[in-house]
Amino acid sequence: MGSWTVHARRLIFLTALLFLWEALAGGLHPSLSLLDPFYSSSPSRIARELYVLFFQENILKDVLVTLGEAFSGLAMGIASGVALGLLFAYSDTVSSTLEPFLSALNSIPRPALAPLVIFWFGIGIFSKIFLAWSIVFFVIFYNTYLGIRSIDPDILNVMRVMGASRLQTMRIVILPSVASWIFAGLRLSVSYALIGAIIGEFVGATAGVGYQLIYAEGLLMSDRLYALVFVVGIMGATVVEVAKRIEGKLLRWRPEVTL
Amino acid sequence: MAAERVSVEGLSVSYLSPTGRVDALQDVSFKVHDGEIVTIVGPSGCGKTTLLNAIAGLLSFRKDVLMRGIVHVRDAGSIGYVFQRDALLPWRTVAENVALGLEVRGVPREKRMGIASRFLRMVGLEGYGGKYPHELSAGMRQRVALARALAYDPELILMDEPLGSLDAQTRASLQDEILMVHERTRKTILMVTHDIAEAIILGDRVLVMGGRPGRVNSEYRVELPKPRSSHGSRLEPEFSRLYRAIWDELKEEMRARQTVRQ
Repeated sequence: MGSWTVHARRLIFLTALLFLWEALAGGLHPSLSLLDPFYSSSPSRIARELYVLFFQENILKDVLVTLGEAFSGLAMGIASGVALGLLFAYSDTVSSTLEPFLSALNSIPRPALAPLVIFWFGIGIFSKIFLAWSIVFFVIFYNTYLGIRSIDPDILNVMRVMGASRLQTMRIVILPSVASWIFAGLRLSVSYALIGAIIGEFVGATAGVGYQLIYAEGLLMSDRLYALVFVVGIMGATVVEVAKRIEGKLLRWRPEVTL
Repeated sequence: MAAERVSVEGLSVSYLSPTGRVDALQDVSFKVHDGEIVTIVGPSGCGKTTLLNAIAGLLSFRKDVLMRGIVHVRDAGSIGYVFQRDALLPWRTVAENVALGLEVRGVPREKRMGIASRFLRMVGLEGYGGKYPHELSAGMRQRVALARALAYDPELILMDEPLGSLDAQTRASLQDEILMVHERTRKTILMVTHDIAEAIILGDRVLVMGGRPGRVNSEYRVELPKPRSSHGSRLEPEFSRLYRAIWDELKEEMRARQTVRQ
């Protein structure tokens, strides 16, 4: 998508925006200054701060901590979500009993849970993993459950007529169908995992980008806040892009992958 | 006469639901012989699909179904089923879909893929084995479903309005395809359709169903010369005669049903 003219237009737009911001913050000439750089910061100040973060403060370590928490939560969320989704699909007794409780739990906004989770697991990485898990788990669980229920009954009938065993039906129809639903929700899941980890770091932590954000806020380091938001943005974009690539590879058989 | 492949005697089927009981079939009896094509026509809701599912063995494991009577299929483990919607696995290639029945039977991959490509050639889809179902048109997908039902060499093929969702052109060409496949494999075929012309062109016998609960009202033997074709066979006087007879009977059935409703 996008010829070079589209890319050129986008580049011009971005450059203009950055110049305008720089100018209004007084970075080009003092007479143009309309904004207080303490609040607005400016591209040049953010760039300088990014340099400090990466080459003097080793922010990469915090980035890796947060990503580690998010991915641990993601992996656990997928494993447990698939397990319960399968159980729900196979047992009407289980699903009809537990369904309302799961909906109730899922309706709790996760930030509200964060202080309690810190109370349970302390300020180490486990509280962040738990929060990331608590969001991903429900996404994957519902996707698995709905994925199985949405399998074309005629496909199951074909398998029965062919004389397939339960195990064969599981391997040939159920699991691939579940996998496709999980991969279709992967982009959403990785961003949710990241959100969970950062919320946990806000409430109590000793490392991670969320911790660094709270730290910078406490010291009124506005340039650093801007720089950290930029870093977090890049993190989010990167993991979503990776998820998109994986999706595209594994869901090649699909007519199209929606945005 | 050839040996019996399917024998249905006094079959009644009811669906049980929390709100009550719906009788789908009542006292249905008929036979299908080896190598025959028997077609079934009837108004919607007369239990045609239920009948096929009973023969396929898809009802016996259901707790909400009550069955009485006898359904006997010689070699009951050897049945192929083609549905109105293709029911292909979207995440598998066309060839892998065709090879599905062989995979279930434990045929090694190389061998089953060889067989699959042979059947793809038979239904005119040579070279499409590596595609995914969504890359094919509806008519092509239904050809794949047909090849899938044939590939594991079942003795009996059940078809539930397999051409029902296709446009007229594609439908005609697939009718020819089915005739050709039958000519070559001599499989026994039991096919439900709502298209009277299709029932006559394909069938050695046409069963006309009616009523709620459904039953077999009458049977027509089709004496059209062979080999038949979708367009050619329509020109025979025998075709018009049968078409009119079956149409009159179905019209009567519909009228009776409307009277009951009022």
